[in-house]
Amino acid sequence: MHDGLRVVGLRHAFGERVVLDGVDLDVPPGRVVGLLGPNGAGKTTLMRIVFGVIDPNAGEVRWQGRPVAADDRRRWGYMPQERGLYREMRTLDHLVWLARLYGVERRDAARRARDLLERLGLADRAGDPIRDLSGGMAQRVQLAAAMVHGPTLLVLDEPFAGLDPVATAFLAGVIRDHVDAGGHLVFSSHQLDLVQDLCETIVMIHAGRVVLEGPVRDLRERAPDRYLRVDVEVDATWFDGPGVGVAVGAGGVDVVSSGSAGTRLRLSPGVDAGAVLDVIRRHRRVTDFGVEAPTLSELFIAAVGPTEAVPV
Amino acid sequence: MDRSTWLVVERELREALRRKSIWAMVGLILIGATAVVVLPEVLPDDDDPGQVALVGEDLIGVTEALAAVPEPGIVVTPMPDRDAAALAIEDGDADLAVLLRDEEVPELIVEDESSDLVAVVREVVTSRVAATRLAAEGVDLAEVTAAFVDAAPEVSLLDADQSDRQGAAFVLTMILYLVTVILTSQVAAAVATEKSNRVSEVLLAIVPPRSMLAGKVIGVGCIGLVILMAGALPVAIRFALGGDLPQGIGRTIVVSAVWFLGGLVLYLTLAGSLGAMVARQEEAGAVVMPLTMLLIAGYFVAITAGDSVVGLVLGVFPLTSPMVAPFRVAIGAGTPIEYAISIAVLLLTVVLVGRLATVVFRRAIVRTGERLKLRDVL
Repeated sequence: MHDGLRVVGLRHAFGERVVLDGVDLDVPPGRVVGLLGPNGAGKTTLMRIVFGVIDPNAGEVRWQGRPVAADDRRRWGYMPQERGLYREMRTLDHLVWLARLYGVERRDAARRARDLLERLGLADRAGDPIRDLSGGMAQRVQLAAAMVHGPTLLVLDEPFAGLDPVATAFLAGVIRDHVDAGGHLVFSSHQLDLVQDLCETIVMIHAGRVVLEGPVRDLRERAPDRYLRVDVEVDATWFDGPGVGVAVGAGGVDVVSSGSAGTRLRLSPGVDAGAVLDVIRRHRRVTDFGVEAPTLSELFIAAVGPTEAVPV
Repeated sequence: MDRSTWLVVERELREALRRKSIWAMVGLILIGATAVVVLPEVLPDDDDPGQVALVGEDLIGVTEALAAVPEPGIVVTPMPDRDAAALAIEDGDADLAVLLRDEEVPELIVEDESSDLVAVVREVVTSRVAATRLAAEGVDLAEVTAAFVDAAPEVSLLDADQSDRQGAAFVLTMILYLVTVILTSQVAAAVATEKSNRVSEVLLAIVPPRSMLAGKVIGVGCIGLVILMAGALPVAIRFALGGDLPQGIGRTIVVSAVWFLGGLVLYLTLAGSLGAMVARQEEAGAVVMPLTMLLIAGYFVAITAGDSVVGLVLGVFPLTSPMVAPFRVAIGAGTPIEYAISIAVLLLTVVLVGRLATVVFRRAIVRTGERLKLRDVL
């Protein structure tokens, strides 16, 4: 038991459509928790329930070991998936106003807002209406809006959607800083592989149910399959026929993806990676290869089955 | 008002006052209302005395009789001949001319035979000619005059200000109707915008839905009142400086304010909850259409059948009473008990609708993707 956020047995339906079906989520302090899954999995509904925007049909949200109260939520910060700001308001005014809504006094709110804009590289845009900012800048203002009152828990819904690599790295840094300072943080993403290196713990949901959860490192290491990466295009028929020594399909090797940029092959438990590499080398000259644990999207597909999974 | 509600109101007001369009509207209404107040004072009106040119020797006392006509009165100007009088009329220096001729009946030269001035002058001249002829026949002129005076019917005014008050009530009801319709659309559009851009999602995590809705209603309502004040200010100044008010209109305006404010809160609250049910801002106009229709119905009943039984019923029904009841007060069609019941029903409805609207608002504001029906959120 930890002193963070615990979501227990959440169940919720919109009419006949069940969007959450017994979901648990733990967000301890000092760890980056990723709530992952494809679009429509129920991530946003879960976050809205955490913030009391929606009352669940069943289940409970707990904070510091007790049912969450409205005052607890005022010390949390929430960044919705898109926009979530008054476009006509000036950046600084908006942040100050939100901080005051969270209960911060006006003068303190102004100081915090200015500091945050400085830290996020937006100090020179403080007086501009938000509609005049670029998409990346507006995203940073959104983040600032979630952080302006110094929340202990940050809940970010799809914060990386639509960001370029520089903005992604910047946001990842902000997330790390918050967690390293002992804060609680959970964010959602459908771009599983993009956030693989940032998440320490994940809860992967699909169609309203948890399909995989735990520390990312453990999940990847515990996965029975291994993946062979080579820098050449591979033809699956190379593994057919007698004398090859490697079976194709279940219990053997699968070509996950193949193209001019290289090939990724899934190796079932017990398959000799060296033997597979030898088969490939009979056909092509390999200059770069590696045996790797599965990526998060591969773990997801393994968990829900290839026919259930949607592109992520 | 709690802190959250106040902060929502404060934001609404501050952002509205920053918009040039609001100031432009305030400016236009201020200029328009000032023009309405000032122009009648500046422009010539029908209260100027009539200008009558008189040609010929006045032996029958026409000049004296015309000068005795009460306000706005008649100014008689002697002219040497018929041509000079005609020229004066063409130049606008005279409204008509009276030609007094020996032995013959006088002649009136006019441009518009149907004007009030012609009728008055014709009557005066006729009575002077008749009196002179009767005197010539030996009848005592004093007796003749007395006979004319005795024969005049007595005129009694039933309610000197009724038409004024009806006119004022008509204008008042129209203003209340327009302000309520415009603000109702504004609230629905603002809520729909906040829903579509997910601002409401962030706010709901911090602010109770009741405060969000109340803040929006109070904020937009206050902006409407500011605009209304811009129109009322010049009128108020004029009356403060000594203008005339039809009797009873002051009381009507004060009493109407209760219905107006109650009705405004009722309609804006309903509009806020309906605005939360749409998926896109463009649908906000359609979703408040039933409210607009009710307002239109109330307005037309007020101005066409305000003093009928229908007017009585709709003057108490809370969704139409804000339009109908002030009109009934203005024309004196109802009783104090009826007005008290109407206000009590309206205020009770505001409270009940406020609670219901908060539930609808809270459930609808987070259901994105499609336009909702009431049964989806109740």
